[in-house]
Amino acid sequence: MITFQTVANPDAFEVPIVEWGALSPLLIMALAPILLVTVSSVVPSFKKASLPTVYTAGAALLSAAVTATLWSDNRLLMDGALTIDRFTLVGWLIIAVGVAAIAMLLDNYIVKQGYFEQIIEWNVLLMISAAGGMIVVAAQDLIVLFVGIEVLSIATYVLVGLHLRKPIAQEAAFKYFILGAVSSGVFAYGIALVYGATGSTYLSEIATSGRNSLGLNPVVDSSLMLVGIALMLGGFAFKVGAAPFHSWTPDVYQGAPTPITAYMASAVKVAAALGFARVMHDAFGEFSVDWQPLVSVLAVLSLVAGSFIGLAQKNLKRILAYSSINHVGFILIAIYALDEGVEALLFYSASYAFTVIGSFGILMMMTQTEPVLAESDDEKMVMIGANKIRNLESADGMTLDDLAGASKRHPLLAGLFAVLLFSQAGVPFTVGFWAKLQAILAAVSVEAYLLAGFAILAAVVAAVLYLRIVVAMYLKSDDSEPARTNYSKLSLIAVVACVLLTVGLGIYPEPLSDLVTNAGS
Amino acid sequence: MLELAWLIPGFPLLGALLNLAVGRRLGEPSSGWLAAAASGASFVTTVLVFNELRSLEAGERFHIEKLFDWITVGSFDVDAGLLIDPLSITMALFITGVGSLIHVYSVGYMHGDANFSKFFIYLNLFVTSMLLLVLGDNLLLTFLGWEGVGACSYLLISFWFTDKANATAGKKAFVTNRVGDFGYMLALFLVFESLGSIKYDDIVAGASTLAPVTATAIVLLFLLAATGKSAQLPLFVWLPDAMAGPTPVSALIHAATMVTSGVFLLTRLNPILAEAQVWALGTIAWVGAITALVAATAAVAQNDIKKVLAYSTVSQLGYLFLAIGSGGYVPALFHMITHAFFKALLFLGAGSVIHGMHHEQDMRKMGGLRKLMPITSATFIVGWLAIAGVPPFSGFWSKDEILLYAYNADAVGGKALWVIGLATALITAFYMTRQVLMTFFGKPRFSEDVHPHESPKTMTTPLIVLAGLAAVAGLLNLPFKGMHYLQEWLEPSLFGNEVHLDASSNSKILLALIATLVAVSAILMARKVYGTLGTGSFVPASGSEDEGKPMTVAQKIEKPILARAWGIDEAYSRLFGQLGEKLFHKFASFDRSVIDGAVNGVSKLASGVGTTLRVTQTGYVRNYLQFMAFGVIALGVWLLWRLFI
Amino acid sequence: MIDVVVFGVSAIIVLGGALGVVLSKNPVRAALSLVASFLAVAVLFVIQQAHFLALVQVVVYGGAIVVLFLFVIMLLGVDKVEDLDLPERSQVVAGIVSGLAFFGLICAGLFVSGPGGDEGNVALTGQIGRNPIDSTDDINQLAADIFTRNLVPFMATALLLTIATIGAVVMVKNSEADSSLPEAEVN
Repeated sequence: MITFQTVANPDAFEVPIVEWGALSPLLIMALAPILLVTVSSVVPSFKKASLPTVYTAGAALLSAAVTATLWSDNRLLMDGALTIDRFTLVGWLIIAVGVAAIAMLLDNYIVKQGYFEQIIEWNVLLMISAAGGMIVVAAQDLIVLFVGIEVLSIATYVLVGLHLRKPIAQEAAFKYFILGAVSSGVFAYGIALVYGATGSTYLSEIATSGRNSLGLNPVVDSSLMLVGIALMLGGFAFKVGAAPFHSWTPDVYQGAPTPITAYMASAVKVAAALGFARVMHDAFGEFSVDWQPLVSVLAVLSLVAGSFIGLAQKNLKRILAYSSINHVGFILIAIYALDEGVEALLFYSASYAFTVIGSFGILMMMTQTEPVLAESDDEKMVMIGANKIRNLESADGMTLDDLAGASKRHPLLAGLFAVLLFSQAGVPFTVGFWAKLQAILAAVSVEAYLLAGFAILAAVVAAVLYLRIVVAMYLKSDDSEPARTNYSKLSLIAVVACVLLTVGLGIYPEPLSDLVTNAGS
Repeated sequence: MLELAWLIPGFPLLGALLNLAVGRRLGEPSSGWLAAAASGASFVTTVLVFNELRSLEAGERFHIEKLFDWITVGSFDVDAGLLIDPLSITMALFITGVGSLIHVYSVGYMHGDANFSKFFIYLNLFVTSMLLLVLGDNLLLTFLGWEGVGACSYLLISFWFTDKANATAGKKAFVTNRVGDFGYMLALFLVFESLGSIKYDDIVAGASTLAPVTATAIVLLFLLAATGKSAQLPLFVWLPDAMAGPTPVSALIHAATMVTSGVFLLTRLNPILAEAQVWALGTIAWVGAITALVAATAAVAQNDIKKVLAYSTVSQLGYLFLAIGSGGYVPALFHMITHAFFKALLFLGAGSVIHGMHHEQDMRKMGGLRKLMPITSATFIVGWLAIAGVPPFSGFWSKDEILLYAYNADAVGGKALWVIGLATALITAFYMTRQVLMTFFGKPRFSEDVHPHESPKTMTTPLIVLAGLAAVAGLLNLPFKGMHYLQEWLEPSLFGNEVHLDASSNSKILLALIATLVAVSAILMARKVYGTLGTGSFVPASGSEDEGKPMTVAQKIEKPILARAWGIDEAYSRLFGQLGEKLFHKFASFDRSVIDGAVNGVSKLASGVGTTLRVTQTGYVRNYLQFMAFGVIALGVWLLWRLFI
Repeated sequence: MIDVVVFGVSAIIVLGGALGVVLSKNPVRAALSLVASFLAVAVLFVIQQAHFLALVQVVVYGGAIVVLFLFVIMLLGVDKVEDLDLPERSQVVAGIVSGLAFFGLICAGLFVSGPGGDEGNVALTGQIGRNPIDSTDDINQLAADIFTRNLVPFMATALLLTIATIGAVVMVKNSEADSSLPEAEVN
């Protein structure tokens, strides 16, 4: 019989009540991988064909479904450390659905690239990382936020480097790790200074701290607080990949296994952006006159860097990386607009997530089904067994030149890709149009006309970025024959779902705008 | 009946979807007939709606048919709805009417094409988008149509995309139109910001509250959009190149319908134009007048049968802008309609010639086709007389009306505009006569093994119908008392913003006489120059045996500067092609050398060769880190600095 | 006063140790510099009356973790000078400049007071929102803190440790498996 020693003062402990129901989407995402790793080590036959994929996608969709049941909830959880509100619910939904799609993209990829042995670990890391992202969007406490970001990031560092036979993946993982660690350090320093200035790490307490009896707010004029904000801003800007903190993005996006790139560009970025917006909004709302100009500068730089530098790229993953920097510009505009921009931010994040997952997914499927070209002899030819094979995924990836004739080799994929690219360009009848429209409207409604003008200009320039890809696929003639389709059905389902959402919501966007307006109210 | 207006864009959409589903199985020609039937059904519906609208009181002819809630974000609340009024229905009538004829024509023209059904999908989609553009009840729906027609236009220009020129032309159209779209978006936000709504009924109601400066800004931004879509200076360069697409496309999109949408937009927004400062209208008029003149001179020197018509279209669209700028919305629409008839006719006629000549487009290799292609040449001649402004053909009446308005628009420099307009009319008659003479008269100049033949019935029937319309469409709005049918009909859409001329009938007659004289003398001049055509009448290709001989009159007229449309296109290519490319590479090399930190100038990632991990990583990461550090410091310094200002 | 002296001395050791980790070319020396840095941090805890944390710092970080590092270094046999390529002079200068600028920024944050006065500035007022730690009962306070206010971060940290473990294992296992894996069928 074991007896527990009681503490000296039992009344001092009031452990927060755990709201299991409201936390269940997060718990599912965190516990499902633990279960998976346990079961698969006991039952080896679990590691079979697409079973882990189906498990992961199922768990993620379950998490999404449970999120949906909470739809009108709006309250604090766990003594105010977490919250269920519009940001949380929409963010959870995006992340959970995104993870399901990514798992489906990973399905065949792992096998094709020769990592079937590690299929469980890929899925486990993906899910735990997503759980970290869910903590980020729900966090009401800077410490919770920080730990969430770390869970999110550390798993991603590993995922980026899992493709061991690909030197640039290793390189990318290493770079991402070093830079990410430093940015986390900067961010933590920022938290410390903010704590120093306000005596709290809770967003709501930070917002109301320092009010003295005269109603003045000495914190507003505190240099400590301002430096803290600057450091946190830098940390966030790194995590979302905003210029001038974007330099890692093209390298890491290019190096990472393509489905993981899709994950980073969608769920990771959205989680960071929503966390960013919440902190700026809830904790530093009083300081908006101070940080708004900075956010607008970051937005403009991101818009310009994303669209202009992207134009000079040849590698498809780098082009899409710059395109994601351009998208961050729009997201920052929505953050800039504070209350006026919340709906735009959520709408943009949601539509951006599935558009970008679809785009990278198609890129992956095309790369994998590129035909064997025995006669060409460039650095993309690698010896696999006795065969010389053009393995684009193992090398640096597809370039625009490799796309020539893609419309004939993969008519279906090329068509789907074109739709998604048009959506990213903001062409009407796609969801991307509405997303950009709302971001610009948000800027207009807070009278940031210059910012709105920049956004429109950048959208026009960036359109050329996407057009180049479409032109390469359709107009560069090449007498290719249709290629053998050998991608996974699950991957195809995920991609087609993304395209259907893009077009469906493009024609009739009311459901999504309803969703982001009415969540958590 | 008005509640069924959604069927107008609905039918072509249905046609496109059906062809998408079963078009390949239907094959040729059934899928083409399906598309034509869809367009025809849309035309019939439009006629029924038109009748219904006519039976209403003039004041009630402004009906909004709401379809569904479209998007609601904060105060930005837009429904998808159709606006049925005389303006939109007039547009819809000639879009579906001319559109249906062109569908029928295409069944013959596209005979034997590998992507027969795909062509008709695009064509139907185009008609749908165009109808959305004119029928939409708010600026956003119009914008969707605006972009939709643009997209269909690129697709159709590069329809034969194996041809590199076609693909480039499609890209050029895309890029120039994006510039215009930029203006449209800015204007849309400005309207929303100043009026709180982007619905046309709210704009009509609220326009009078606009400050003149705001209204001017909105008008100028929409003008930018319109110059892109309607191919005006400085954004007209894409249209001549767009002729790379199949000829029915040139007729439908790049002559009759899409290119007029800029004019439609400005007409639709007449309440805002009325509030704008005078110089905004002046800008519109002058853009139009100068475009008309420049494009007409360029048309003189073209040898490609379609390029002549392309520059001619640009020039005629200039007239429309001139009319709008002079306050003449009705003449603008009148000329838009007659132009749709005769220009579609001319394009289809040219297409028939090209078809008969086995895809030869160079007029220097034609001649004497009158006897071989009787129907085509007869109808083409009707079109020629109409565009040249010979009474009583339709072009005479509408062009005359525009010149009359320009003459009286003193606030924006009326007399000068009139002179430019008249000069344009002269040149127009000249180059059209040149074209007719080169193509249909004189001695045959094609080689022995070309056997021109008349086109099939599917192609000639639309020609005959359009020729009839081009001849008599002037009846719509004759300048005689009680015969201003179009003017009375459009009155409810213009809210009294139309300028009412009180010119005496004597001066009207005088102006008309001058215009007629000009047209006739231009035709005679052209006959003098091109009457007897041998191969020596043309500017010789470099290297040919004629090079270096003294130039004839015709050759002197066709100086290279005209042939290259004043070199504007090339100037753009130089500017954007080379300079733009350099700029992008500057950015990229900045990114590589500074941001990517390849200080020693060797960028591993650019070369794409994998080298050992460690060497490059230490190089890159520390530079990235440095950049981050400077970024954070900049953020901090900015925030601290704010403490002391 | 003695507090200030102790703080100054240990702060110098903390920073010196950290610099030693980065700058020394011999991995064993780097690891030992780390021990110095950790121990000085423990001293900082002591002057803040956080005795339990100081103990944990010494036992876990200074003891277990660094010993583990040393074992790994010895076992892998990398205990010799690595031939790391040195950064270019311009980069060194830029690095030093940005480091100093960062330091300056933090100092400005700590010691510059704005027009609103010193009230919001902890370095100038010495005031912080939470109550100072009661040195007689710091274990209970720590426990209470972890299980009440910081329960969520505590649980999330568990997730972090899980993922770190799995990540480390999969990276190592992966590279071992990779050498023996038959070449993949790639299309």
